[in-house]
Amino acid sequence: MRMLITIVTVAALGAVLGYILPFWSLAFAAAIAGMLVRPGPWRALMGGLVGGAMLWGGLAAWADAANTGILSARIADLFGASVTVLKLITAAIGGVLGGLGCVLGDRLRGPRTN
Amino acid sequence: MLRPHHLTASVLAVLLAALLWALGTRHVIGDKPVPPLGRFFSPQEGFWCNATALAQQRPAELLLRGLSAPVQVVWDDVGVPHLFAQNDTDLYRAQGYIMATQRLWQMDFVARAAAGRVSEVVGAAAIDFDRGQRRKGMLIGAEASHAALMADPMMAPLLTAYADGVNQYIASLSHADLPLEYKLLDHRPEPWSPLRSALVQQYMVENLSGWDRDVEDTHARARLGAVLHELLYPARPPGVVPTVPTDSTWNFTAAPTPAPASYDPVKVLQRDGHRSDPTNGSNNWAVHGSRTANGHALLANDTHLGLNFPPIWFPVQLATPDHRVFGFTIPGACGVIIGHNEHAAFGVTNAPRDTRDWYHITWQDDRRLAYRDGDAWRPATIKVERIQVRDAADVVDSVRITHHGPVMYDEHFGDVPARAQLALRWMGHEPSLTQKALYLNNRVKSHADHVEALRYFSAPAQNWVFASTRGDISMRIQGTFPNKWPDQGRFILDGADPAHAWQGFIPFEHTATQVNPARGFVSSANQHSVDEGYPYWFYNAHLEYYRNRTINTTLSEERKWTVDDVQRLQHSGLDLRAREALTVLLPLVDQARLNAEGRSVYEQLERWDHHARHNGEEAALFQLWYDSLRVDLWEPLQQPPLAFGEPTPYNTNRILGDSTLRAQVEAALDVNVRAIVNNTFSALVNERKEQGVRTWGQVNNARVMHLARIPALSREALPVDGCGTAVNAQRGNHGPSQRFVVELSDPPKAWFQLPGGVNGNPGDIHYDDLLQEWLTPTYRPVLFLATAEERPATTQLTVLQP
Repeated sequence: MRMLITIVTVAALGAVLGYILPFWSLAFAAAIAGMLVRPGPWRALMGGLVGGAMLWGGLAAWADAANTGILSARIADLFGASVTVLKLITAAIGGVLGGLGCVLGDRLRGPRTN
Repeated sequence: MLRPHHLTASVLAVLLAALLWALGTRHVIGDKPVPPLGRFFSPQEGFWCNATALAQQRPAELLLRGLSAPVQVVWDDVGVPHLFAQNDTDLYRAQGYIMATQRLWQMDFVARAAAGRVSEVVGAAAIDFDRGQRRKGMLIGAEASHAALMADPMMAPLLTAYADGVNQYIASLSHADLPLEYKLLDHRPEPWSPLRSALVQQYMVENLSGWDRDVEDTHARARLGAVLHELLYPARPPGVVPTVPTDSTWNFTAAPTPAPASYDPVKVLQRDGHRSDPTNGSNNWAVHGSRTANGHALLANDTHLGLNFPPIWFPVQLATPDHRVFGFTIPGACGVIIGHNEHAAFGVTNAPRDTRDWYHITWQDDRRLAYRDGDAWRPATIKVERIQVRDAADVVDSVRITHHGPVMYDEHFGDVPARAQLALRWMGHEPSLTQKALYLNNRVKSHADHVEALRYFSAPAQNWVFASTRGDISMRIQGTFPNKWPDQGRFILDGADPAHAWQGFIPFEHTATQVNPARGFVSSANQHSVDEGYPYWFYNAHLEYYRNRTINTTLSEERKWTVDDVQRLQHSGLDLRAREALTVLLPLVDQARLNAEGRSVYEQLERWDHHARHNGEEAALFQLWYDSLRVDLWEPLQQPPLAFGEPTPYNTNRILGDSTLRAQVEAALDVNVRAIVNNTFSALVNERKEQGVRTWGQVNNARVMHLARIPALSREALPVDGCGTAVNAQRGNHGPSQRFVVELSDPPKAWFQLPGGVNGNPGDIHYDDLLQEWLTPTYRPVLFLATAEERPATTQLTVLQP
C-alpha cells in the first residue's frame, strides 16, 4: 500500500512541479514525496523509480501518440536509436530522478519511530 | 543529532547533485555536442513538447500589446497565415509576431550568421566563418542600411513594430515552448531589432552577390595572356541573348566612365575562399495577354537557392483596408518580396552583375596603419572584432578599414602564407532602402507605381518581372550599379591609384527595362543582363547559358499559353547543356574501339532526349562523363600556386565544337582532346561495369537539408527530375526554393509550391507537408481572401487582441 502511495505521490507532485520548474524538479518532488510518505529506503527507491518512470514515460507516450510519431521518428534517427528506445531513455531518466530523489527524502527524515 | 540515515542522505545528495549537473549540462563527446539530456528528454520541457498534437486547435485569441485594433489571422489548410489588420503598423507588428511563431529559430540563426556570431552557439568550428563575415563587412552594410531605414519616417515605425511583434512572442516562451533547435543546440533566442532585419537583408545580398573570380582572372590573365584568357574565360561569348536586349536605341543620354590610361591588372596572389554559391539563381517570365488562352497575362517565378528546412521562403497574405497582397517573404522582412496584390504580380531572379571588387592595398610599413592613396598616405581605421566562442576563449581579430572597404585578406586571414592585402569594395556595404521598395511594391496599382517603388531597390540587384491586370508586362534589371569602365573590377584593382576607385553609379533612369515587347513575353534566368548596345559596361563572372534559352525557345512557340503550360515549363528537365555537349563529344568517340558495353552506353546517350529523369540512367552517365572530362581537359589550368578554375560548360562546348579553337587550346595547354574524350569515356564504361547502373536520382541525390545540417531533420533521395542547367534547376541540395504562377485575371488567381512547409518545427505536420507536391507539377491554389469573414470552413481563426 505504502509503495502504491509513494508511486502516486511522486508522479503527482512531479507532474505539478514539472510544469513550473525545470527537469530537476522531478527529483525535488520525489524527495518531498519521500519525506511525506516515508516508505523506507527500498520502497522509496522502487516507488520513486516507478513513479518517475511512469510520469515521464507516460507523458512522452501521450505526446507521441497525439503527434503520431512525427517528431519521435526524427529524434530517434538523430540519436541513432528506435522510438521505443527513446521512450525507454525518457522513462529511465524519469525513474532515476524519481528513485534517487525519493530515497533522499526518505533518508533525510529517517526511519519511522512508532 | 547526526544519525546513520543522515550519512546515507548526504551520500545520496552528492550523488543526485552530480547526476543533475550531468543531465543539465551540454557535453561535447568526441566532436559531437550532446544537449543537456535531462532537459532534452523531459516530457515537460524537452523535445517531447515540440511534438505538437495533429488535431491542433489554434488559439482563438492571443494578446499582442501595442495594436491599435484587433488583427485577424486566418490559418489555411497548410498553415499559411492570412493577416487582416486595420493599418500598416498593426499589420507588421502582427507579421513579426506570426513569423516568430512559425520560424523563430531560423530568423534568429540567419541574423546571427550574417553578423558572424555562429561560434557563440556551435563553438570553435565556426571561428573562420565568423571572421570571414566580419572581415567582408557584413555588419558595415547592415548598419548602414539600418541607419538609412531608421532615418526614414515611414519605415522606422514599421520595422520597430515588426521587431516588437517578434519580441513579444519571444517573451511569452518558456523553455518548453522554445523551437526544437534551441533545445538541441542549447541556446536561447536573442531579442529581435530592426538591425537584425537589416542583417537578414544583408544575408540575402551576400547570398546573391557574394561571388566573383577577380583573383583567378587576374592570375589567369597574367599567365595565359589576354588572347588565351579571353578564349577560355570570355566575358561575352557568342550566341548570348541577354535578359533585356537592345531592341531600339535607349531613350537616355548615357555617361559611361572612360578607362584610365594607366590601367593594368595588379598581379598579386590570394585565393578568395569565402564566396557564396554562384549557382544561386532563378527563372521568371511573364506572357502578354495577347499570347494566352484566356487573354489574361501570366507571370511565373521560381527561385533557385539552397533547399533547406525550414525553407528560405514563407508564404503569407497581408491585408489592410488599403491593400491586400499574397506572396513569399523571408523571415525577418516586412511585407512580401515575390507575390501579387489585386492589381499586379511581381517576382525576381538574381541579376548577375559585378558589384564586388578587390583592391590591392599598399601599406606604408609593417604596422599597417596607413596606406597609399595617390601621392599621399591615408590612415586606415582599425576595427577590433571580438568573437565569442562557446567552450573556448574569445578570438580577437583586428580588421583594417580603407576608403575602398575592409581588408578581408591579409597575413592573418586567407591563404597561408598570405600573399596579398585585399580590400573589398562591395555594393553590400552601401546603405539600402530595399525594405522600403518592398513596402511600396506590395501596394502597386500600375506599372508606373512599380517603377517608382523600385527607385529604392538597390541590392541585391534583381531582374524584376511584372504583370498587371491591365495587361502590362515588364522586366526591369534593378539595383544600384557602379558605373565602370570596361573591365574595371574584372581583375584586382590597384587601391593606391585613385583612378581605379568606383566613379559613381548608373542613374536610376538608365536602368535596363523592357515593357510590353513585341515578342509578347519577358523572361530572365540569370543570363547576361544586356548586350553591347547598352551604353554602360556590363560584366559578371558567373552567368547562365542554358535555362534562359530553353525558356525563351519554349515561350517563342506559336501557341496560346495556359497556367498548365507555365507550370509544366517550370518543371522541365530538358538539359540543353547535355544536348550541346553530346553533339560535340559523341562524334569524337572512336566507335571502332568500343567493346559491347561501350557500344551500349554510346547508343544510350545517342538515343537520349536530354531530359534529366531521376529514374533514368542517361543524365547520370552524361554528368559523370562530362565532369571527369572537364577535369582532365582543364587540368593544366589548375596548377599551383593558384588554380584558375574551369572554363564554363558553355565555353567548353563552344571550344570543343570548333576545330580551330580546339587546336588553339590543344597547342596552348598541351592537351589532346580526342584522347581525353576517349579515355574518360572508357573510364565511364569500366566504372559502370564495376559499380553497376546508377540512376540520375542516385547521382544527384536531390535533398532538402536542415539549416543546421542535421540529417535526421532533412529529407534525402527525393524523386525529382531536372538538373542545374534545366529549367527545373534541381541539383543536390540546391534548386527551386519556391514556385509561383499568377494569372492576371481580376482579381488575380495564383498557384504555388514550396519544398518543405510553412512551420519550422520538425514536430509539426506543416514542417514538410508541401514537399510532396513540389516534386511534380501539382500546384496548390493560393487562397486570396478579401476579408477574414469569407474564410472557408476548413480554416482556423486567431484574433490578436490589443
